[in-house]
Amino acid sequence: MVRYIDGLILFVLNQMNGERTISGALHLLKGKKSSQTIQDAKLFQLSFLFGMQRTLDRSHIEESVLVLYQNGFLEKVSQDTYKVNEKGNVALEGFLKQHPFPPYLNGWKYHQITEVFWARISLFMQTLSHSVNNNMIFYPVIRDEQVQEWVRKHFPKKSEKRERIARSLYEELTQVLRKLPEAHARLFVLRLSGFHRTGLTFHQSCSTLHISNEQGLLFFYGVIHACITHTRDDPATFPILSSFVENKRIPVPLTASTRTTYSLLQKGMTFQQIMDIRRLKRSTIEDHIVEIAINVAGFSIDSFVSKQSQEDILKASNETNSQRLKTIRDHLNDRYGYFEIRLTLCKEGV
Amino acid sequence: MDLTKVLYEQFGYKEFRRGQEEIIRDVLDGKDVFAMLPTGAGKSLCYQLPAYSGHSPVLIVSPLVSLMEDQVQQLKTNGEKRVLALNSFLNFDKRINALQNLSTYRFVFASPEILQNNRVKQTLKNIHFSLMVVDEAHCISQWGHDFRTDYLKLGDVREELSNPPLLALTATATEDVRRDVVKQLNMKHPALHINTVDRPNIAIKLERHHSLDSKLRSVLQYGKTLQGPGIIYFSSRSLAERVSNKLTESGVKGVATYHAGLESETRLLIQQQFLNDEISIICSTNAFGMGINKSNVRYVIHFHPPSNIESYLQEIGRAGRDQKPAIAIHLYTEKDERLPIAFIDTELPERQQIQEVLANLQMRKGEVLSLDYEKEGVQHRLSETAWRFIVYQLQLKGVLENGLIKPFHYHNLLEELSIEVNTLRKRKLTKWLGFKNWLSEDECRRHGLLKRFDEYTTSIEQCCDICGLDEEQYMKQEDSALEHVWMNWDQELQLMLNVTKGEQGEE
Repeated sequence: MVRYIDGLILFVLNQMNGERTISGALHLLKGKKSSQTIQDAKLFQLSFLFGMQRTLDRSHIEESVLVLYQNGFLEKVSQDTYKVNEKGNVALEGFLKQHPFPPYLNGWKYHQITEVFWARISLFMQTLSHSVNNNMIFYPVIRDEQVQEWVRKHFPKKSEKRERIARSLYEELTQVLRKLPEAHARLFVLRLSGFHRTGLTFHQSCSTLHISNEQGLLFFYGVIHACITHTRDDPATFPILSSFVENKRIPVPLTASTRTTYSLLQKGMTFQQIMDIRRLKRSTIEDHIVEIAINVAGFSIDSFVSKQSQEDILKASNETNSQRLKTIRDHLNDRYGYFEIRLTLCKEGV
Repeated sequence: MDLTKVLYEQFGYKEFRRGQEEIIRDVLDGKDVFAMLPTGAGKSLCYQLPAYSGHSPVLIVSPLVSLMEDQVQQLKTNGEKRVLALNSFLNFDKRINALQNLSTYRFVFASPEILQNNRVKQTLKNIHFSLMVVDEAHCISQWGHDFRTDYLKLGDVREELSNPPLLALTATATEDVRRDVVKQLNMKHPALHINTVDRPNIAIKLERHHSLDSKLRSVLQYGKTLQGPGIIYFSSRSLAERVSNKLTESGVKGVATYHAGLESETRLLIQQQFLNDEISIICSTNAFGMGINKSNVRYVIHFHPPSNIESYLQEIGRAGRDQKPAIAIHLYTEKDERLPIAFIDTELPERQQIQEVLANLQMRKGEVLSLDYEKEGVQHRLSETAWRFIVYQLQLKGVLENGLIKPFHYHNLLEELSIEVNTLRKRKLTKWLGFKNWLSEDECRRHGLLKRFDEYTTSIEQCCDICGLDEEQYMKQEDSALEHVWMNWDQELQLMLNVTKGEQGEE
């Protein structure tokens, strides 16, 4: 495999098992917030890559698919739909061995707080670095007013405390970074600004490490997600890193319209009532419910699909070794609708 | 008053630069002042020094948010705490809070738009401003390129603030623009300080080429050999990137690209790296430079021509602010002239687009129109400037009142707008032709530039390629980019946070 992006696309296509078009893969990597994409992320165990290549566009993915196809790694299933073949599987295995995914990467879970974490830590670090090196003259690397306000509020006032905080921040960061591959830690630290130098831009940091931007993005997010994961698991050991995500409860990531449907469900309304009140199509409400099932832990789907039906559907999925709705529906002789199958598959494993 | 003393105590300078002291004296005398100072001559000192001599608080109206932020940041960096920027980026609670404490500030920066907010206006009225400054005052002129009606209301704003003395600042303004600004701002017998646009320490070289290829060879050669730091201007992002990559490939260190298509964090970092001499060459579109205060830029190269002489002077004026020798090199091919013309066309609406907009508005009269480009302008495939131009004209003609769409006569309005577009196109083309002629002349380059501002030059050393130029002195003597020695990430973090491993466990 010559390029990282090709390997990444090969991985995604393999997970999707020839059951989605390349648009599906593109939406997922770009992090499109549609019910379909969110369901796909769940169905194909691709949540961790959700939104992790936001700058990818259609021509990039088409190019990759072409390269993979010409290398004989893909079989064409139908227009824009490909399945990874035996040869492709071998290649993929080699790729993953050479480039394992960053261990803590979790795009879907953390995509809403990743940016703010970076903004806060980079400005806090810059300010602290200048302060403990007795030079408070600098241009902030982050212009966002809210972030500046946040740092101002959380910045220790006394100089002894600043030194203590600097040491603790160092300890916390090294604890996280040491568990990660050397190159990931290096890329992250290269991007930080301090009293002695300006941080590198994302692009510069990738060229310094001689890696592609696509690979660099996963390294970078991987480090941030590692920090966030540690603060979740053990806030007492990581008080400063925890403060960077403070007040940022990871919200249940529902799209706005789905949120409305969810609150109506919580008020005890039925499917039909919600359709009437919201004047939305049946299929739209169905999408909402699937989205809720994916994201709200403990949400029961039993009132939409009976226990027995769920068992039948899961059994059919196992027997056909497929997540494809049409295959399962055919296997069950059209006994269940797509909505029921979709909902069951999505809820599975939550 | 001993101004030199204040200058030294507050700013650490021993003497004024050309033109500054005269302007400041008139400001201190409470006169209305129109001041034209070339880029890099220290315009902001003209209101900052009075503020430290008792003329405070000062209200500074600044057209560009980025420019405003840079000035605020510079003041803060110099230790000034009593500075506030009123622009839409502040959240509303904070704005109200800031407004209530307005009198404690020495410098209040505001965008023309925010000054139209009633609440802001009411609060400002209660403050006795000693001075009102309009920065980049040429923008106010109807011949300006920004089409923001809120500029035209600044005269009224001033009146409502009980007429504080006014200082209008600009780097370049031709005679008609000056007259227009004075009128729009209701300035009374203003003291005019028109300083030369000449920057004698910048040598000027014009280099004509037959083809793009030969131009490319030339720019790469300059990038390799000239003493940096330097800025190379392009009108296309892709060429800027191409040259930047080529330079890097050929072993030149510290080259970066800069254009509006980059994320704001990236742009900020590149600016900082350039300011701190961590990179030495910026390949850029004209998005780079506004508000960049870097004193040691040694050269500016134009790979493509700007669309008028004012922009050209502003761009080369970013070189040699430390008053040491610098050089401006313009690479030109005949084909280049298509670029500014195409650029002028995209900035203006086509007749068919105007028809489309008007037909659309006719159906929506009585509605409140969102002036937001993304919401409205995009659907008619208008460029942002073209959209602003239409809105501006509709406001001037009373068709839009606070966003409300009033009834209008379709055909008359269409004709009126078409005439406005044509006038403006002609004006812009004339400006471009003025610059293009300069590119084809064979007389002293400096003389050619200055005569367009009714100025004359005396002969100077290292003037231009016509008068004779020793290029050797602009060649590379030393690497201008400091290379950071990178250890491993752990040591880097220790350095950054000033912690040493040895102390571990002692606490």
